[in-house]
Amino acid sequence: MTGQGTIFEVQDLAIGFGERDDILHGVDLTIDRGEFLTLLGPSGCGKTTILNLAAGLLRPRAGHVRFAGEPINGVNRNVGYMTQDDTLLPWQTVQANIGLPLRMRKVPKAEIARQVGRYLEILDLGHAANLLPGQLSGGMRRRALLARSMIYEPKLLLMDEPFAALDAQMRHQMHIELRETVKRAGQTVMFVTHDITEAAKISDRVLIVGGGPPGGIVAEYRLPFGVERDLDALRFTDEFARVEQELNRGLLDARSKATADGGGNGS
Amino acid sequence: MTDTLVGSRPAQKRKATQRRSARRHRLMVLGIQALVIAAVLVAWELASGRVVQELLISRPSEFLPALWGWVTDGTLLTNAAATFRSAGLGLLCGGLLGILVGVVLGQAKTLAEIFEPMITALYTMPKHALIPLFIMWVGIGSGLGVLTAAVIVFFLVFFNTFFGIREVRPSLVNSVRIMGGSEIDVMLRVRLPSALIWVVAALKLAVPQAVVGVVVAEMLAGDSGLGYLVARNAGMFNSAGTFAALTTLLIAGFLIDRLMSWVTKKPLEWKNNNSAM
Repeated sequence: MTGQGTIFEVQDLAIGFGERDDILHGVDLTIDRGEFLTLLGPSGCGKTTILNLAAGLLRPRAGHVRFAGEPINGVNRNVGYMTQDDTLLPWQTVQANIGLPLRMRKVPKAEIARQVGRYLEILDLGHAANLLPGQLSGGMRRRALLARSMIYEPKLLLMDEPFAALDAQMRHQMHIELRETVKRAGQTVMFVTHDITEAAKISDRVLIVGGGPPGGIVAEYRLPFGVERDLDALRFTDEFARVEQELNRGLLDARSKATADGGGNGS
Repeated sequence: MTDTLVGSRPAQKRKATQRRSARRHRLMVLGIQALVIAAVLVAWELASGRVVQELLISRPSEFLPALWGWVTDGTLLTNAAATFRSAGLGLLCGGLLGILVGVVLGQAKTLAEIFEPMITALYTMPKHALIPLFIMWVGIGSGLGVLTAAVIVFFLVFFNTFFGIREVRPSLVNSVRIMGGSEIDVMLRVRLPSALIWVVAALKLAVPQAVVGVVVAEMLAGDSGLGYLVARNAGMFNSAGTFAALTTLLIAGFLIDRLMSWVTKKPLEWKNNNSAM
């Protein structure tokens, strides 16, 4: 953890909506600038809800949600949000999609072209610049979304199972590219996944979400791999296997707690 | 570099062969179509006056020269221009109004709840049945055709715009807002382009429907236009003139269909490429 001040903070949070009025309760969470934090938990435990709170798409029933020390009121335009859903505009080319946030922020055209070119190069999308999203593979779409989410240098990048639809090989490649891109930009990331291996590979810190309903943060792990990590080699080390086992145990404990509390929706 | 060149030659050859094969296939289809049309015309010519009374079906050797006569003396151009002018104006008025009302109701949920059922009720009425009412409103002439076409086009464009605006995925709207987009950005960069595909699809239907509306109006109460030509010639039991006018409509309808397919090809391209939408 780099620890250069808190960017996002949740205190004593309670939230629910519709028929599920108790998704999360008593959640305390902070993320520091430059940190790569992963929320790990089973589907339906409230991980995405926390990202939506950070993006200002939801409001808590109780508790405080602050971004850079200020309460979040309305859509938070200081974050980038990469969801599972493909949100590339299908009628715009890859480069037009990537440059969209800058165009909306009235950045001069020359600067937009420069930044788009830089991200096309970083994420190896140069050859696809003039293609429409429908002409791209799943991995290329994800890279284009990552570029679009990062090009305006959001203070916090929210990623909701962004690589869930990719095959294992492509997912591993995306992990490498994500780590490198994020490191280069000094980007703060809050990542959501239910995949233990993914969480162990890319995170600085992992919070296990679960134990509900209502759910909460049931365990915290600081990963020992450091900022510089060779993901190709790392996944075959004993230390990595040990971290995976610990995270797995954390998830099982969360599930047991849910069952003992009479919750455990089994999702 | 050498690999690329070596690798690309067979691919280029294969593409050239595919292109030649596609061209041959197209020529073959065109040839067969020409033969079928020629066979129908010959059968028609032979049947007329022998199997069926000539008054009822005319004959190609009568109505084709009549049609050519209209081409040379300007009758065809004058009347076709009148029909298409009315259809074009109707398309413009009805289309713009349809888009405007579709955008407003697509955005305003309460307004949509109030007005959408009313518009749907009006839509279910046969529009051509309104022509007598329109005659009372605007009289006989080109205004009647414009109004008829506008009403037909309005409903087609309205419903497509309305549902196009409503069907936009919330995740697209939220992503644009989070990236710094204003409500105007959401409208101009997401909702309208997303609805455009529906509008374009509607236009493919609306353009020929607008022409049909104008032709029917001209037939019922026109003083010029292709519909007027059909009605006048039929009224005088001039079957050659009637078939000449109908042939003109047939050709015009075919050309409009091809034109709309060509015009809408580009805007529909992303839709065809995108399986996720």
